[in-house]
Amino acid sequence: MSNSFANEKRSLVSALVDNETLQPAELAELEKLRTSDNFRAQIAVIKAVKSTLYARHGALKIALPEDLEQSIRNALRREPAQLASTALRKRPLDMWHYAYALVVLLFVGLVWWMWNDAGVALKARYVAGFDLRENAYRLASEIRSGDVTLSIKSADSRAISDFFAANGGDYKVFFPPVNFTLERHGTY
Amino acid sequence: MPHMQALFTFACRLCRDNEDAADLMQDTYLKAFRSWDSFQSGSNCKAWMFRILKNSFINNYRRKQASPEMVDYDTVEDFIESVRDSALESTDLERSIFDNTFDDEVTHAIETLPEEFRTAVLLCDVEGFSYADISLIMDSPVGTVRSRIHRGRGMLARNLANYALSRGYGSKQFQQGAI
Repeated sequence: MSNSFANEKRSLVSALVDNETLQPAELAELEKLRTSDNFRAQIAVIKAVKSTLYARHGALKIALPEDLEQSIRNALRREPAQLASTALRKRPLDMWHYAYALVVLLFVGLVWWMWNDAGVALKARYVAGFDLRENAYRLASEIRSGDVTLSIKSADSRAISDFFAANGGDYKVFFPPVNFTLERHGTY
Repeated sequence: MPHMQALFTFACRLCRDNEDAADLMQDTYLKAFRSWDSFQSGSNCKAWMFRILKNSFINNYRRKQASPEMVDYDTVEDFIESVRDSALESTDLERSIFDNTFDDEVTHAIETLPEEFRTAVLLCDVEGFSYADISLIMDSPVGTVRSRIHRGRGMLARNLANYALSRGYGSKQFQQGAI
């Protein structure tokens, strides 16, 4: 092929034969080449190859193996199960991450609560309340017999709360069961 | 199953081995199934499947293939030069050059093409894809696709003419030509 038919222009022949869209500059180039013998020879050869392949299209097909479609179908049927098992393998890992994060969060919260003033006060109140109830029941007979002297005797829960507040406690309401028990035994 | 025949033929041409082609087919359908979400509705499904098959071939099967003998494009140009007069005179060059080739010879001529050229020619002339679709399938610019198609056809023309000549067919110009 002569040098006049530059490399980048050669492929325009195939594009022309294939009815591919060409840029205006490429169309202009083809117009210039239209009278060239080389160009016309190229067109003829490319058309011949294309029509040969087209004419043999049926013969060029390769018969599908009989079991190929079935084997692909089988593989596709197994695929959802494999995808699901993969997802399940991943899911516990994700759950463990969430569980670790939750445990750490709870631990940090617990430490914060334990060291917080409100937490300490609440804890003290709970323990003191427990001791009060236990002592009230345990000492009920001594109180009745006068062996234990009560610091204050009152049916006014507010007065009792004030007494506890003055002595380091912060009980605002007297415990009704204790109150009831003491009244029933006539101590009150 | 859609496009199975076309995909298998293409796979066989790429792999040059029917068993490898069958494995490649299975890979292709599985990958298509897994990545169905990535398929854009309204686009060319056949081209999408061909692209998956082509990429699977590149990733898993190409290394097994022995590289075909490369053809110097200058010799192809020599061929076109040699048939120029015949081409200009004949209104049906196919009849004068390729009509006497057997299907097996056409198949062999295709299989001796370098992979990139073979792929481009098959997608264009056998499967009827546009250059834009082939560009998508081969992941190459349209200009590169166009060049590969043209050069592939040129190589194929020379191979087919060689078969015709070897069996005593062909025009006087072929026998006197440079091929």
